[in-house]
Amino acid sequence: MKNYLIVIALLLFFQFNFAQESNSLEYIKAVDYVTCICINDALPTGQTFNCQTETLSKATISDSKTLALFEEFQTLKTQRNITDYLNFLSEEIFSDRVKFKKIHDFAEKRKGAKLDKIKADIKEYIRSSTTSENKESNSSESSKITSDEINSTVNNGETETDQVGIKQPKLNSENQFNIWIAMLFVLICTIAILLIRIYILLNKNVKNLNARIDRRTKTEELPNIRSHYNSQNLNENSRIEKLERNIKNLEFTISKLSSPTIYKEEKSPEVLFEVPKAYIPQSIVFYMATPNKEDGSFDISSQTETFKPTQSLYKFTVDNSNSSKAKFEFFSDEAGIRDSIDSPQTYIDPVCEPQNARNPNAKKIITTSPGTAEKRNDKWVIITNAKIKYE
Amino acid sequence: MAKVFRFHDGSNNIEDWQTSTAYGKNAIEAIKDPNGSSANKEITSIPSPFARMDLVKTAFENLVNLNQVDGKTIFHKMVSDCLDVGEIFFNSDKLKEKINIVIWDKANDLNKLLHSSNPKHKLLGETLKLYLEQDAKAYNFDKIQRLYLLNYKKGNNELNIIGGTSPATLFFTSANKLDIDIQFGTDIVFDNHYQPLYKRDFNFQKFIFGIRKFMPNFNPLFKGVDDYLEMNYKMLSHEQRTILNNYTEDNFNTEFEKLTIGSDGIVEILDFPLRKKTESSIDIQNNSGFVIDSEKCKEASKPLVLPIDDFSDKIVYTTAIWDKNNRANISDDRPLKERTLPYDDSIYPYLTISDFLEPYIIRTIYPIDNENFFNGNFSVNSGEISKGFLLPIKKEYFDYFNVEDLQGVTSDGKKIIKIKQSSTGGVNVTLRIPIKNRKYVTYERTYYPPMNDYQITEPDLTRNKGAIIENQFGLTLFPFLKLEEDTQNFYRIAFMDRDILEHNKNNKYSLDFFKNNDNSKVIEKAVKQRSEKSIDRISSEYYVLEEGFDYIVVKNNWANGVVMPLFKKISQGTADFTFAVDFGTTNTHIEYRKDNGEPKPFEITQNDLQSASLYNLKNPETIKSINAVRANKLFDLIIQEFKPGELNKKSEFSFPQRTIINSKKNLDLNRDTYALSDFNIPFDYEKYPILPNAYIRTNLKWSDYTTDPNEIKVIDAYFENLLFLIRNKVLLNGGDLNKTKLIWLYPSSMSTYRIRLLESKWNELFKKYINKSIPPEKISESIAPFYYYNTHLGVNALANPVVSIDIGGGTTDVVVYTNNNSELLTSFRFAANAVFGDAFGRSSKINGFILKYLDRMRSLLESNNQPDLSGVLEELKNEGKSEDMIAFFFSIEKNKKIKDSNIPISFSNDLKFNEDFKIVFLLFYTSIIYHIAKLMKAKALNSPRYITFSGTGSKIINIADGSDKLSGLTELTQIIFKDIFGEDTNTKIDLKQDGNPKEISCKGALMITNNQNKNIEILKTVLLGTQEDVLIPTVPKSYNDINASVENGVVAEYNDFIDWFFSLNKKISFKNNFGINQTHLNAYKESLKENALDNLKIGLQEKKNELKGDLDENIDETLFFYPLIGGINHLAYNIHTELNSQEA
Repeated sequence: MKNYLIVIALLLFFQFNFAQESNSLEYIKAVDYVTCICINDALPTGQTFNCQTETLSKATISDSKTLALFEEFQTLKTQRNITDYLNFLSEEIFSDRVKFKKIHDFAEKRKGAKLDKIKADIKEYIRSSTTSENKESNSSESSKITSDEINSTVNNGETETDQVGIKQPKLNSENQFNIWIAMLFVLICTIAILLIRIYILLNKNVKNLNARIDRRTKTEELPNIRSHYNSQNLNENSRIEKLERNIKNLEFTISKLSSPTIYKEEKSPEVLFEVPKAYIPQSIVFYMATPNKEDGSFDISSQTETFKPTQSLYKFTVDNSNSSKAKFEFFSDEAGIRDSIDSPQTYIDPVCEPQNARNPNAKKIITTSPGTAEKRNDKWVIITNAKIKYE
Repeated sequence: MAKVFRFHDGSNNIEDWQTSTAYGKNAIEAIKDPNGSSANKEITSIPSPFARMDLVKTAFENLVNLNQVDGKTIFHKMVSDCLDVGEIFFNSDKLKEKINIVIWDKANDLNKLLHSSNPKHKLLGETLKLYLEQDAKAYNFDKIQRLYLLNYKKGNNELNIIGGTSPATLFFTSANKLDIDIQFGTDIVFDNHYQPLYKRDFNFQKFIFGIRKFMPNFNPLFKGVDDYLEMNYKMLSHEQRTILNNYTEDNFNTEFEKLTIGSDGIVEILDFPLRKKTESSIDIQNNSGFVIDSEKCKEASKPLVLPIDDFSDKIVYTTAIWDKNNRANISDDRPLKERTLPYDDSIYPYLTISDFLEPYIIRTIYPIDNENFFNGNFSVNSGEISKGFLLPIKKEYFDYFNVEDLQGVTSDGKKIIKIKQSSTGGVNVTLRIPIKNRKYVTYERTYYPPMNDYQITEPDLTRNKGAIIENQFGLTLFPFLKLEEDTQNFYRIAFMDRDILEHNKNNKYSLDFFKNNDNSKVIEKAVKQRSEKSIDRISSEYYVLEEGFDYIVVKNNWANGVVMPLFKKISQGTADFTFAVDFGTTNTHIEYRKDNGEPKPFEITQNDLQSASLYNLKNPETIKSINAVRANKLFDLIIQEFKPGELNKKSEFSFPQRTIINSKKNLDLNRDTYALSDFNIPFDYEKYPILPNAYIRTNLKWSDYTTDPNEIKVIDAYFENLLFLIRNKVLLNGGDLNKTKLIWLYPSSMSTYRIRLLESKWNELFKKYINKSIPPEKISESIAPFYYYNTHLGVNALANPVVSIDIGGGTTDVVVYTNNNSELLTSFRFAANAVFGDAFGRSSKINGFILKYLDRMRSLLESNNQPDLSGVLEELKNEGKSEDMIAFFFSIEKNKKIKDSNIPISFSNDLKFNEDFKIVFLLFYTSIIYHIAKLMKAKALNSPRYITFSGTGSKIINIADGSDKLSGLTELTQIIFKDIFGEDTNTKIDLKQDGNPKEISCKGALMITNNQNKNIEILKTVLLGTQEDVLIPTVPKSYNDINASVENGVVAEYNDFIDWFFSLNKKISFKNNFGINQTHLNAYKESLKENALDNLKIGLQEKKNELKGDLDENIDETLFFYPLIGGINHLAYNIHTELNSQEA
């Protein structure tokens, strides 16, 4: 079980990382673009780059100050927990004097229309790199807009064609689709693992039950039953049938799941239901202890469904066609046989007819002919005594 | 206008800066506290300890100014905490586990600081010194030598100072926030419930007021405190004020000891010794309402009984009312004297629920018989009661209460104990313990059943949950009565253990018996085991006690439970009882008379049951429950190893009873043995199969106890068993043991030595169990029957003698009466066993009756579905004793089951109608009458008028003569006497017989008057048995005198008798009168004469062996019958073989 949990955890981690990876790539690209347009502005004319198509590198910058600025831009790539990198890259870095001094100084020198243009450029770039499904994004994912930001936008007189509620740049449609696929894949794997586990457990249980049934059938015919007799014999067969049906269903389900096909619209898988076989009722068996001395009857309140060591003496089998009639025979363990031989007046005589003289050294009490009994109110009344022999 | 920066109000005409003065009292008081005095946080920012003292002083003063003793201000808190410190000092004795006192000596400790090498210490010292000097007047620092600080030992740090003495306010607190686990009454120290002085323990109040009263200059030194005390004084009751007003210094000094710290001296405040409460348990006992209400408890400190649940009665605990949210511990493992009271810490004994109730409750598999045992007022929610419970009461309960208390009710009528079973099988036990003022504490515990029958659940006492444990056992007490005088109580307690499930088969039980008075244990005289679980699937133990007891604790490996018998308390009555015991060879019988009434057979009926078991067999639920788990052995073993409940003709078991005794097979007779413990009379013998581990001893009367000292123990046990029954009969029927008499019958053929041995046993046991004043009387078996006929049937021996013939199993006794007195007595070993037994050690394989009837009886039993009797027969057959088998054959028709079912089995009828074997019985009868006639003639006595018959063996005559009036035998008898006495004898002879021949010996014995009980030795006469009528002892003749001549003479006499017997056929037709087949009479005659001499010699040899060389004694029985004993046995065999050869 522990192993299965580790596998599931790894799958989830993989899926998470995948999503994370997708997001960070976009951000890096955006940083590169910002770096490029800002350094471009800092470079002398003629040494500029096409930021859409070219990537700026350190080697291309000769000026030390510009290089320092470049390096500060590169540190943006290591920033963590940036929920709204559009705002971050278009506004925050230019206004944060403490964290990004050089970028801030760069922005100060170009304060006004020039800076606004650079910002607009950056925003446009970032927006254009997200998918058209931004329209479905909910408002909770809107980036935080500082009051300063709104004020500066208003003060500059620029009308933002952007929506006021600036949205978090979203993953493109292709990436989002990949993530859903990944999640679905993980889900399917998890279910498959659980089903396999259940199957293995059920299989094991069935094997154990079979082994126990085998053991029991070998020993059941002997009247001398060990005192550690298991008390589940009555319902074992029906339990086994039920378990086998469950296993078949699970096997079918697993086979369907093992090669999943992803549809746009999910259809529920077909499940085959087996019609159970016609139920053949088994004879009802119960056990009784000491009969009433006066009338040879047995109280219903003392009947037990299973054989109880140190207690049970007689086995009753109810007539299939008439549940108020039953046959009974002597059926007990070594202790019960000994008690009966020592005190037949209590345990044997009221309901049995011995066919031979009582032998104090006898080891068995055999029922040569079962007796019959009838259920009347709260008793099983003996109609004919059982015939027994001491051996 | 500019604002003047100041805390208080004042003049506003200040410009710039102006010189100000130190804040005086008015200025200080004018400072407004923005939070008011309702701040709930103490002012703790002032670091100096002396400032803390000032704060407390201010608090007292503020309360006085506010004139509010009760309140929730910070000042009330500080004063309350200060008083808590005082109360801790006051109770320091009982709090020594939690608190110790630390001394700060002004001189020494300050000097140490001042002279310390550590500059910081020095600075501290200088600072302290500064304050001490500066504030000397204000806070009495100039008067102090020491300050005493309280350290809470259970805090988190090494030192946890919570307060100490104060020269300004007596005590002060540190304001440290500490979780202090100290409580006085309901008040927890330093909590948020502020307690003014007048609400505290009055002893503490006396202490504080005492300081106020007796400390010199208290008021100027502690003015604030003094004023506060005055306010509290007004809140006291009139009674309390009176006490304080009358309080003297002597009272103060006596009542409170000085508080000392070991060798460091006395704790003082400004030289006034501080005192402490003297821990006196008498105070708690006097004050607390929880003191147990027990007259039985003689301890100096009676324990408290504390509740573990909600207890809303307003009862003083130690110094205050018990808070209803308080809970005592469910259990406390400490010895009672070492316990500390919860919420008080005083060392004082207290009791809680687990001191009274066991963790387990034992459940029996049957309902407890609540008529004989107290069942704890058991009830069920619904349905029949099919189980029972032992009382889960610890024996410590009885240190305080008696069994009658547990059975009683509280002052308001509620039962002291109640056990109630719920529908889920759990059981709720409620126990109420009385405390002072007729109140009580109620304890309740629920016991939960196990998950299944094969498990034992653990109790969870932390949650007050007990566990039910079911066991299969039985307990029977005998006798079920108790005498007022304890030295006269004798008991046997039978305990059967049938725990044979896997989880409890190794259970070992023990029983402890206790008396009410001082809850002392009764030491049993012995504990004996009979059956063993490993072999017999049940174990049985028998406890022998010779003292009374009131309750029993049953213990097994897991649990204890109490059994409380509801004994009948007996005072001895006044009735006069006389018992007669006929200790026969085969059967024993007892009859008795009460106040000279008619003799009655000894019986135990429902009206005078002598024993009681935990279960009641008359309750159908009991039978049902036992049957359901096949625990019937619990009942059956009581009958087999102990005794049946009833002994009377209407039940299965009664007297006369076989003279046999049962024990386990390997009983060691070298150790002490007891009746109804090692031995018992098995009343079910010959009715049901005996157990494999049982050993039945028969022939007790004639066993080897004269030479083997261990054998006499068997007799001892038998007599003891009988006397136990007799004793209880007297006690339960209003009798007086001191007036009870015993008559025991002995056979006249028994040797004097043997008789004396038996006599000594009777005397010894009678003294122990009945009385020492009236020794038992012995009467010859031979003499007794006549007096029954004489008193009940008008038989008189006046004009003519009466002959009384008592035919037993082994012996026939004959007594001849003249003038209603015994005249002569003779006894011989020719009785029922001579007919049915194996003469002279022969085998049952050549016993004619066995050969003839064994298969027939077996077949009859089988065809009538009597397998238990068949089983008995098989066992007897295996033992091979013919007389036992024949006795069994006769007993079948008297078996209750046979009679109730009208099963037509009757051995006696079979014999009556067997024309071939009848000759044997006729011969038997005739030989006895012949011998008696010859004896009487030799003694010159007249022919008798009556011949009476008694003894079980006398039933043979009814076989000989099938008529109910014995007309055939009567005529035969007349003929015999005529032949012997001569033709002129005309006396009519009547034969008299009773339907219960065994019983009339005892009945007759009860009718004998003193002068009729003669020494039979002088009556004994023996007719030698030769043709000459030699009478011994008239003619002395010993066994040494028996020579060939005597032997031949006997044989000749015998042969003459045989010839004469068969000649009687001509005078009285055997066929017509007795239905005897005459075909083979001659052959029978010859058969009888065969081996006559051999038989005689064998008989003589056996006799001599018995005499063990003592052959000089006079011959004590006739030799006449010796040849006949062998002859009859041979005859019976021949009859059977003759028949068989004919049939073939």
